[in-house]
Amino acid sequence: MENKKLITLVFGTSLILVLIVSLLLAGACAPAAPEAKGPIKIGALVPITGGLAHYGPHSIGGINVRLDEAGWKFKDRPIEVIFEDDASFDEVMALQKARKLVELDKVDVLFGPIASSSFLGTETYIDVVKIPTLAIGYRGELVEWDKPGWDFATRGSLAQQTYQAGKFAYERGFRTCNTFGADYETGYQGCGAFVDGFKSAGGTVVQMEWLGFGIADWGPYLAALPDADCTAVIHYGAEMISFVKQWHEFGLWNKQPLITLDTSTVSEPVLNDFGDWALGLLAATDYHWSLNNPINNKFVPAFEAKTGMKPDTTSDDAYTATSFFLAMLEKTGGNTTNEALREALFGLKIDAPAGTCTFDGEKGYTIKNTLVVEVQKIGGKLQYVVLKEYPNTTNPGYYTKP
Amino acid sequence: MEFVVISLLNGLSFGTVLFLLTIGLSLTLGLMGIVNLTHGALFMVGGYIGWTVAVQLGLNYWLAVLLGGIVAGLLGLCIEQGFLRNLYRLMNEQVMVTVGFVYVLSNLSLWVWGGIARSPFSAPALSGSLPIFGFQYPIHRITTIGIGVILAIGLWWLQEKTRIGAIVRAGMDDKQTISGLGVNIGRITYLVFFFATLMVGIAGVIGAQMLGVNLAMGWDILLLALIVLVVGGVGSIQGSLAGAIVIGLIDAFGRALFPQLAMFLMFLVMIVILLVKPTGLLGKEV
Amino acid sequence: MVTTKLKTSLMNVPGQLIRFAPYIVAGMILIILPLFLSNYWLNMMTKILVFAIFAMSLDLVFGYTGLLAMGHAAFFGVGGYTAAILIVKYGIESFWIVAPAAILMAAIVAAIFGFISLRVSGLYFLMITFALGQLLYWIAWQWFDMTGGAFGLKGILFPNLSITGFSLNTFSFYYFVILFFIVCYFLLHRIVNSPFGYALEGIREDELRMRALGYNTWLYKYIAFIIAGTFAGLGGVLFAHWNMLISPRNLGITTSVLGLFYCMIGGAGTLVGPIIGAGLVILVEFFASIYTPDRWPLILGVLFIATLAIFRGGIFPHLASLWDKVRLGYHIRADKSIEN
Repeated sequence: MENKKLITLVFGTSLILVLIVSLLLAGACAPAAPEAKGPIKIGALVPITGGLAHYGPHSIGGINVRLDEAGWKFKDRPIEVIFEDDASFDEVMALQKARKLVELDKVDVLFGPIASSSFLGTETYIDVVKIPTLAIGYRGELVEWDKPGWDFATRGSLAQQTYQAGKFAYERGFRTCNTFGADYETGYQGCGAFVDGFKSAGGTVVQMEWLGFGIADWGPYLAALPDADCTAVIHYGAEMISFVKQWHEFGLWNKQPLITLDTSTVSEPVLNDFGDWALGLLAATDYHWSLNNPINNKFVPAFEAKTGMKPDTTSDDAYTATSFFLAMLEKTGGNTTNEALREALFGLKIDAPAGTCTFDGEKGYTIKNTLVVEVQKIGGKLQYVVLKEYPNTTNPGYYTKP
Repeated sequence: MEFVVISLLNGLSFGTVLFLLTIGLSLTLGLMGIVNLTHGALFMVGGYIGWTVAVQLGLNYWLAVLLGGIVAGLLGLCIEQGFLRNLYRLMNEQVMVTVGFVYVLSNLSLWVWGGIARSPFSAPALSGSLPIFGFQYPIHRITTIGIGVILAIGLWWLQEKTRIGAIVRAGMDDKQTISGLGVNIGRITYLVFFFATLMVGIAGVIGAQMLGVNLAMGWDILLLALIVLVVGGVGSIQGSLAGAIVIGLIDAFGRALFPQLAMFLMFLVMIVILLVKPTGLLGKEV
Repeated sequence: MVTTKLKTSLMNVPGQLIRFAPYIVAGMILIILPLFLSNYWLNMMTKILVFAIFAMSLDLVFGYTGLLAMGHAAFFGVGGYTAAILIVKYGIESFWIVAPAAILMAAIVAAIFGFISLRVSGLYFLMITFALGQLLYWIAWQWFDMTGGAFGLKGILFPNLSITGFSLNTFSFYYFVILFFIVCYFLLHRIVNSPFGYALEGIREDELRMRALGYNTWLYKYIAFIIAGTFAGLGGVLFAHWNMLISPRNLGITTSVLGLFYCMIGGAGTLVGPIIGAGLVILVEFFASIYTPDRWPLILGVLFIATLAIFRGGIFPHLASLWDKVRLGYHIRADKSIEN
């Protein structure tokens, strides 16, 4: 009995002491004063835990590979990256980490957070502290293109890639289409732009359906599907995977060709989970590891050596964001004040693994290549193969729910 | 017409998964007064184990179902024996400890299986589809309904016609009397707990045929389980079955007819039942 | 005679100090310390206070009345959303309009949800409160035009106090929140130490007996539920300003569950316990996530389980009884030395 009291005494008092001491220490240790010639710091908010955790290693790898290439320094100053977990969909955590990076670590630029809701959630704060923030994963669904602030969708927008996919669908011979989109911004942008591209080429839309969240049983939607030449779908996370699987199970695979409007969830490991029936699946994307250009040819083996995985769209985003930042430094000559860095971004042109990317001179969007790919079997494994590359696409607009 | 049939089959197959999911929850609630909120996480873990066995190792699917169930069952047993037993009668602590385990199991799952969402998988023989009214309908959904029927009958028989069923039912009504009659109620409770979490694990692997496995499933599936419990009633096989079928059908027809409101409809049904008959359609007074 | 009295009272000064020591320490931490903290840590302390308000409100219903409510974040979120909608969508910025409106909305929702939930008790109550919380989460997610859908509403800055030339910053916002925190604590303290509060505890201990004594237990529970929801709504408004964003998560089970943990880890039914619990959990979560980014949810889960399984009743009661022993021991020694 005495032992228990002792333990309680020690445990409880030490917890309270820890509370007090940590607060005192935190107060006493003034955050690092900004040194003119200290290291250049990148603050990266990446998903290490939570529903998007599988993008974590891709983001971290992409940034590290690019900095390896740059020798981890710019001129005479070393470059540091501080990675913090943004907990995927937890906006409170993401904002807290963003604050920590900006106020305690005094970073010069922020990357991420990855989830759209978190990225937008930090926007208010970023506008107040005025730190340039480059997106990894965020697609620019709600960026006000005409009035760029301090956060930038350097990876381009979803609408950009799905618009081209719409045109492709028409070129492929489809004249009518159905769409399924997640019932929020991602769905509206993705499907809206697809339909826009498709219609501008001459096609007609039969049905635009919106999919809910939660436990994903798509049977009911599939049972009510009208006839059309093709169907385009965009959802996020596991819902997209089960959608494609159920599309096959309900025998629609041979009836209506399916186009997925993004490849981040139906990734190559998932294709191989699916099996050979997935051959012929079409998808819109903005990067694939098989692209043949000097930057990508260096990037892919370096990334594989570092992480053991082939790079995907997130790895490319992270690499590209880092490249943009390094180019911004080049342009400012090493001046890391917020205003200088922001100015430098406009009109910047870099070579990324996905091809050349140009950040528009006035509006806040990226001009870049997008792709349409198809699932084929190569060397006994399923993978995406590039069917068509659309160079220098721009953002077609902002789409709302029709 | 075909739309009605397809939706009916969808609703019943999804309902079977819900049934398997909630039997365990209902039993532990009715017999032991514990709401095991780790249920959603155990569903997920069962699914992941099933994935490892059936997909990663390429072994027999039914073995995967069994192993998924057993692992979930053992985890549940550990939680019960190690923690819940010591918190006897402290309902709040028990409930919150199970929530603590949700954090633990989710992170451990991330550690073991990584973050990638897994595609739905099934036994190769069941992976095809049958033509129904000009539609191709997945075989595994039909067999799932079959499994549901068999299990429902089997469990009902267990509940009504066997001694152990009688003990459990009596235990739900009055634990003290049945102990007084010489039954070792303690041993029965932990068997029931194991059985309950075993069923959740099995539900996870069977559910994976439709839903796949991923890290985010836990809370959503738990919510559905709770709605089924409230609607159908606690403490009996028929209660879980009734609730599961109702919710499964609402989900199927609701999503097909008014997709955005399907979930809302479920909430509405739950609230109405609570206001009109709080113990659920076929529930006992708890 | 005089000298003995003087001696006694002089010797009692340390005794008085010891008696008030907890309050002195609390005052130092909450009021003096922040004068020396950087903005970042001020912000962190503001977070702790906001969630302490949330946790205290939950404690009224959970710790004192014994109702395991798993949807308390609904009222917290409603407060936040009301504030956000008024500020961001309708441009009504004055805190003196926004806050009362938000608190009122939270109270209304608590009245509706309370009515539905209190039809049942025990674990059914748990399930229904869970589901109602998720219902609001779902509504917030679906009603894009009003609530911003999955992305929530952003662009919320510090409260506008409608005082010309004065605007809040991180430092002053902290003290602004402290005022509300002290008021909430004071009010809740009065409530739980009143006949109404004692009745609630009676209901927690044995509802049947209370009914036998003639109390309308349903009404007591209902009123407690609404009061708790109202305070949670206030917490929600302050939260919206602190977080600069309100999103569906802030209404849902993950936030409700954290509230329960703050109460239980700190000590349910003590009012001070939830405050300590909130501080502890928030700090552990933060540091764990910095130093062990892969495994911090695991660490948090283990902390929860360990505290619940081992420290029954939470940390505060144990510390309080410890403190009492110290005090008592001192007074015994003091009395002895006076006698000599």
